[in-house]
Amino acid sequence: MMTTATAMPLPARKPLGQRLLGFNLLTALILAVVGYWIGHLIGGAVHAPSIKYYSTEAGYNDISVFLGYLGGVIGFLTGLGFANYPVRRMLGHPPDLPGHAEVNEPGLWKYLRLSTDHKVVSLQYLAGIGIFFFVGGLNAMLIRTELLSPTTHVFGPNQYLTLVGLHGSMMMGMMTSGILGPFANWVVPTMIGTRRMAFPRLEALTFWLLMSAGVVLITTIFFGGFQTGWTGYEPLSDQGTAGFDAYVGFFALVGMSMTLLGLNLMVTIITMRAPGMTWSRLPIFVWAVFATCVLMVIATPMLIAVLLMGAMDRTVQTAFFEPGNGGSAQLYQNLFWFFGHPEVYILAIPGFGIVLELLPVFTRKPLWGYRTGIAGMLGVALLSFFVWQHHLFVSGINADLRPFYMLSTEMISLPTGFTFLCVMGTLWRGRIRLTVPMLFCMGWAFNFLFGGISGVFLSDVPSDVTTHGSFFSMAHFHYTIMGGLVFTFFAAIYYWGPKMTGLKFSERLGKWHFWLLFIAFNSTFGPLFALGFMGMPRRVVTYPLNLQGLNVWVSISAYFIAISMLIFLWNVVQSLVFKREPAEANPWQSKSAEWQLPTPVPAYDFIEWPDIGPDPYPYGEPVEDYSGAPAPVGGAA
Amino acid sequence: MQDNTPHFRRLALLWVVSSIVLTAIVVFVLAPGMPPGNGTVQASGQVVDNTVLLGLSTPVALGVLLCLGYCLIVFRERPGDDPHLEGPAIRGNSSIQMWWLVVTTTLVLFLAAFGSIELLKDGAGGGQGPNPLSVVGNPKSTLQVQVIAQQWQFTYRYPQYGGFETNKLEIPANTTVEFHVTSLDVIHSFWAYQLGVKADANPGQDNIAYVQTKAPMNFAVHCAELCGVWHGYMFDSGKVVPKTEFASWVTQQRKYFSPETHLLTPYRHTYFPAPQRRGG
Amino acid sequence: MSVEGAIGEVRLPPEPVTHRTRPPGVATRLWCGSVTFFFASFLFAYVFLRSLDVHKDWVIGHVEPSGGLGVTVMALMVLSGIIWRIGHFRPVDTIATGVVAIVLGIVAVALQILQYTTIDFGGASGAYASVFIGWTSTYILGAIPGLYWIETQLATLVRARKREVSEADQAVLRAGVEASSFFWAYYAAIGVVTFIFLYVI
Repeated sequence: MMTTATAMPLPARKPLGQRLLGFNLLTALILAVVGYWIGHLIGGAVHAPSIKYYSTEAGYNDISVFLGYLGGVIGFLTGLGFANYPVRRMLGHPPDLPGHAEVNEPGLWKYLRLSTDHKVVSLQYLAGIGIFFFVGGLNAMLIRTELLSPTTHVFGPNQYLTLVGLHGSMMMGMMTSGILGPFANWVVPTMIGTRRMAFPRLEALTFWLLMSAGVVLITTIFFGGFQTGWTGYEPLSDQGTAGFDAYVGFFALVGMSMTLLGLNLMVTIITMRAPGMTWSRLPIFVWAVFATCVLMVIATPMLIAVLLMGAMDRTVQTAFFEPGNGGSAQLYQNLFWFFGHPEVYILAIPGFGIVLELLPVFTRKPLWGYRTGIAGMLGVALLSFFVWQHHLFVSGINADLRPFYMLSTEMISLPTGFTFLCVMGTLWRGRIRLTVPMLFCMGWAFNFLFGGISGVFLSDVPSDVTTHGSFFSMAHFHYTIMGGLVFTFFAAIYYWGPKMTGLKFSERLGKWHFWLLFIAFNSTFGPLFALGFMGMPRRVVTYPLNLQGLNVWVSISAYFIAISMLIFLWNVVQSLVFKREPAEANPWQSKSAEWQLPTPVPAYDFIEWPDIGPDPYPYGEPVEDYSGAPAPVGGAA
Repeated sequence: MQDNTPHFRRLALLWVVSSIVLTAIVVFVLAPGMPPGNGTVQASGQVVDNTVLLGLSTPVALGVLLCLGYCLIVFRERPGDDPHLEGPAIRGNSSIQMWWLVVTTTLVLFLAAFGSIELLKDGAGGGQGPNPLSVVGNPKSTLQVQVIAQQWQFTYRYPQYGGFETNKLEIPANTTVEFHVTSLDVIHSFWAYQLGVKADANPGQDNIAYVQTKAPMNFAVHCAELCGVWHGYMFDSGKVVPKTEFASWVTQQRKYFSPETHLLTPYRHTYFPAPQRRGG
Repeated sequence: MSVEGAIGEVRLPPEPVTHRTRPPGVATRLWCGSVTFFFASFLFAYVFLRSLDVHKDWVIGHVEPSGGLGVTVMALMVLSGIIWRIGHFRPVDTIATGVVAIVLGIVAVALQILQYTTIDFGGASGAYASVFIGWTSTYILGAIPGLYWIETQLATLVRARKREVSEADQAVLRAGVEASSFFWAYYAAIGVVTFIFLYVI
């Protein structure tokens, strides 16, 4: 029980041999393999009678593959120790909270086990997502390598489409938690004044589910890959080999992880705020997390449901998406985008939060238009449920509703505009410090502006007829997701990294990273707008000869993105492995709660919560005449 | 330290001047080259839309960029400045917030209304489903062409000429063409770039798109929806030809295919896709 | 909690007890939202496919799941939900009602499986058959974790009878019972919607 403070010294470190026995990553991997084979055998037994009726043309038994994945994931989680508490509860042990003394353990061992400390989980998230981010980036490099030539020259069409699908799924699936996983898990409890998340075990579960999802996705290459891209449109996907089962398993696991992550963060924000931390005093990042979590909790279950329907079509021969047997391919499109469109705001809103959270620190001003910023993020979250059919503008389904969806889609630019207004208002007359995190925030503003404006072209149906499904839309969502999410992801790493790791990052390498990434990013994705306008459809392995010049330009720019990422990697390795220069407690002179903690942060975070007062952004010299301005938050005036 | 420079006025002046210049450049220099060209009425309509959007977004983008740039240059902390100095604690300005909302809302409503009018006028070349809202031209003189997509090619049927099926797409100039797009297997998308036509081909569903051709030209056809391994190779080309040439072409094709035409499934708006059952 | 850290051993002020009593209830209500949207997908599939019905293949052949078993499953779930919710409001009867709720739930699951053995159609027999199989099977699979949840509450209460439980811990236990009973009643309500769409309309 955490309510009483009792002495609990760190247990003595056991020798390695003994440590390997028990609940850890090694056991988990062994049990995952065992579980996979048990699931596979059961699937074979279930499936055996139906072989009489259905020919196995693809040579795979999807029931076995699905049950194998299920068994593998269960084995993996059991091996990590996730089954212990549920079994204890089943036997009637009262609910308790896990202690988390392991954060003070030296070495990396604590990261390879189930840990319930929010700081350890955050770093696990950062490393785990980082690995998959780099794998997804590598896929992008391979795609661009193939597109150096108008015909196939490095990969065959199947390999190429598998790469496209892997890149898309990896980035959309794994990076969805890219900010909420590492940073919200770390910062939100401290910002609202508590030492833990509401459900620490659930917090750890979301991470390990995400990791198992990533591994499941990669196993697709053993089953022949999948040709559907990250959207997995039916009925094409129903033709796919067992490689598509990996996609289904992957996204279902990601969906569960996302739903639980959102649920946990939301409950934490609702129930565990410190006394005095009213809703109108929450830092804007917490509001961004909250708005994102609403989407995660509501929209993601639909993804799980639609994947389940697809899996049933593939295993128990239902016909949800089979046009021949009463199903409809558009049912998939509708359900998928009902999740899929909120999903892109799940990616974008945390970025808004980070930019608005960081700007006051680096302009030495309070956040301009705090309530407007919140309204913007909640508005985006709400509107995102009413726009999904713009993905189906030329599909011929509900074509009469297109004016409505045109309006609702263009209305998204209103709350997004609020965010930009807050950014400009905060910059105005500030004392701007162009540190690395600030540079990345400004990069966000530049990229997202063009991402947003190109979105208006896509939302206007006549214009969309040309741009739909072309490289234009591809460029658009890379501007919003890579330019929006990834830039703020790096802003957050450079901003909170020193606090999270306790070590200093190189400012010089960070600036190199930013400028190379920023220029290479725009040089890569800017021309893609033109390529789309010139008639290049998405996901093609060949293209007309006259587009080769631009494509080569884009590919070479993309390699510079890769180089900038290598600079980042070198920065991280140098700081964490070689130099190990301890970071200052508050290098940015930030006034928010997490920066008032000492570095390195102790396991218990704080003894008394640093009371940051009624105003989350107490920066700036007081001015007398800001006529017409809303009263300072918290009613300090 | 009180800064009395009229920053706001300076920025506003900068914005007005530069957006007049740049918008003029965009509208008069860039816009005529906007895709998908002026080959058909629908394509021209899309060019108009693209022009309006580009013309309106130029000042908006410029405003934001100028503001960001101005702030970053003018309000930057310079080496040697007192590091303890902070900015003014301005927390908002309700009149600016309100004006921003009013202006952006007006813009959005205008764009949505304009886009809807442009869309409903002539269908804009997009797929409108089986019961189109905007029917274009006189149904009697409209040429019907059925586009059948399958993995991985397009074929075309001309129901008014006996329903023969060919893999060549030719349509007459100065005519309204009604494309009936459907698919036999998975979702494809019929994208005739220069015509300004894009319509998804859904299995078991009819998707109608209209185009009003102008002068003769060649156009490219792509599949714009991922449809399997050879999606990248699913492209084609077509021709808009003079009416007389079309008449002779269609008679010749009809004759050429007549031995096979009666073996085909009779012309329908949809062809029931064969169920694709897989084992397990 | 006390941790030996870099600055030695510290004593922390106790965590407010609301940090342990409020999250289960709030989480359950949010979780019910998730579950609603999950089943809303099946509802959407039902409405969409039925209204589309282009080729008159909403029902192909003889597709008639046993209505008697369907209504029984729904009734058992509703009864179970109501009883366990009553158990939450009457602390004296919590354990007894919980046992009854679990038994009813298990019978419902068993009857649903029994129904699958009696149906004479497969998933390919039209859209209705697909929605029927998809919706009922996920619904009944989802009931199993709910039953597990009730069981953990009962096991905890039974054990708690044998020892001294502080007032705070008592509140935590009650919060768990409240959460699981809210979820279970809500889940039964989803069962009613399932029944209405799949059997009545």
